[in-house]
Amino acid sequence: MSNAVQVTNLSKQFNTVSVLRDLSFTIPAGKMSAIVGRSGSGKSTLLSLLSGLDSPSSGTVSIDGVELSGLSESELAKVRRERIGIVFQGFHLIPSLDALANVLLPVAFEDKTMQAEQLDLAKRLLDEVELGHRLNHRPAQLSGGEQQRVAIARSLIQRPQVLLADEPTGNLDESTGKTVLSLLRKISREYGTTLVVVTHDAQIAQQAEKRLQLSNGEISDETN
Amino acid sequence: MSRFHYLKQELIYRLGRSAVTLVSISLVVFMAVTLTAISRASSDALRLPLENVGADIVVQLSGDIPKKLEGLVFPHPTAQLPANTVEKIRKLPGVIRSTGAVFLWDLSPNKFQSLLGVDSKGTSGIPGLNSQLISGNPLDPDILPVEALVDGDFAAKNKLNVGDKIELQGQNYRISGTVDTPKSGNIMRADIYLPLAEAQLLASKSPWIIDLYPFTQSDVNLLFLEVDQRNLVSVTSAVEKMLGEKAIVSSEISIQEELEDLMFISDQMSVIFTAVIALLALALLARSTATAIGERRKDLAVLQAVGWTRPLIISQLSLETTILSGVGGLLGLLLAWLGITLIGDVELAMELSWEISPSPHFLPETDFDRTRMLVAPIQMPLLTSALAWILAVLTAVSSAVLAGFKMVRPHPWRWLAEE
Repeated sequence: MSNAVQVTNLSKQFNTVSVLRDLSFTIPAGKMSAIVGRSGSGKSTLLSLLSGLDSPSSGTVSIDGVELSGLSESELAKVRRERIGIVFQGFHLIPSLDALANVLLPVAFEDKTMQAEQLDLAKRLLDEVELGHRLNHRPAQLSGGEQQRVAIARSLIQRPQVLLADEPTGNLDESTGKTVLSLLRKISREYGTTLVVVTHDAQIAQQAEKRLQLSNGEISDETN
Repeated sequence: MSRFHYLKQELIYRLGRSAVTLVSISLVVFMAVTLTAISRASSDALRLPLENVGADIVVQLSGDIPKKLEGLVFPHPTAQLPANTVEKIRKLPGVIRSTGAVFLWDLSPNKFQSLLGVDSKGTSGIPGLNSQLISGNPLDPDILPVEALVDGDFAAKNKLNVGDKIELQGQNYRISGTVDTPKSGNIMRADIYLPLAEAQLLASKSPWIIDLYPFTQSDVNLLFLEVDQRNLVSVTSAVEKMLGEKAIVSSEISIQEELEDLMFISDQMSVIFTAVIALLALALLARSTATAIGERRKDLAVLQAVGWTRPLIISQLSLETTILSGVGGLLGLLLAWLGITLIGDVELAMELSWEISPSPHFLPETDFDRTRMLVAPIQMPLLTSALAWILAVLTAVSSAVLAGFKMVRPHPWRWLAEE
């Protein structure tokens, strides 16, 4: 089985505080993996490094065979655009744009032919997350669960190899959280996307094929 | 969805922020254009006295008071200009055209009238005078017996009509026509106009003139010079040097010096005032632009997270700001145009200096008011308008670019982690 993510000797320090210490692990392609840990264990920092939104103090991260540390800023942006989808705990939708435009945001600068194709895909994705009837609603007009579903659709618009989800149910009630998670699993399966969920919730972690337990910046347990 | 759709939605969604930027830019442009226009109109108003005598430089020589202020005299303290000096002045580099004239006062216990003998050539001469004919016939210097033109106001005040006779030093002259010299902008104002030769003849026979000066029929007491503007200072200096201490050389420069306080208010103060206001407004504009972008810090991080590059995000911000500032600038220009149209004119009350006033102001018995209302239209300064617009847009866009570079960091995670 090939690996979608490969992490080698990864460390991150903030001033003198060591948040992640010499992590090495792999995440198999096409499966769901969970990075589990208590608050402050370094799991969100790890996700920031996996997504290339922050840089490590040492070590390397490879996404779909591409090592992030050697890339320029624009190359890194291209990797994020084409190979990585990110779902945040706080949804992070653009408030001025409606649901459809938010989903299309990663491809806003593509040429018109591509945009036409992506418009169809965006509508289909919003249909799949059961928001086909809310295309022209702005985030303020949507519930938390609906906003997170828009964010999931946005993360999949470029059909990424890896989908990183940072506490995707953290701001949702239990029932909505379950719905969102099952949607994430269903769609990532359909699209063959590797799903990496950062969570403190053991129940969510149980659903993953691979679990990495983080404690004090180190992997304390790795379960396949 | 295109970048332009995002741009439009941002501008509409954040209407308050867009309005602040629009108002800031409108203010910059409005202040710069309006104040410059008023300042220029004020300067134009102060130049009117000279423009109205139709010359760049008016040359006179200070003289003595006649023993008796009766009949035809030189306006005090004008003296005869030496013929050889006049010739030298005419040959000075930068002098395009010169027109000699004889300016006289005709005084009696019951009346005062001014007389100007004008050359047959030049804009300050008979052609300029005839161009302002209100009624009757133009002045023909070759017609005999010699005729005169009279100022329209003077004719109305003294109930004089075309064809009537006017008496000067015992000689009667038929009025060929009336002229509206205040409007001409080409000639010094007087009550009566005669061909230069006739005025020279009258002056050469006036007992109170020849008592003071060896005035002949080829002499003048007034010289109008049209000068290449690049040589204005050098010609003025050369004439002053030739005529010595008694030179009275009126030009834009001398009027500015004489009206230093007034000019200071109209020119320098307005420039300083405009600059201060414009700087404050530009600072406000730069701050509001940077603040607006700062408020979107998290949105910008989201754009990075979904794969937008820094140059792309900054170009998006620049595009937004360019459109906002461009429209704001146009709004400012529209407001300035409205303001200028509503204000209309600049009016300044100014007491004319004696050498450009046709009235014998020193005589206590005369009631001529030398105070003159200078009125100049305020016009839209096109170059300033363009510059103000460009400067406002550049300030806004450069603020946006700087703020963009500051806010869009290579690693935006911390903005996304903030809740």
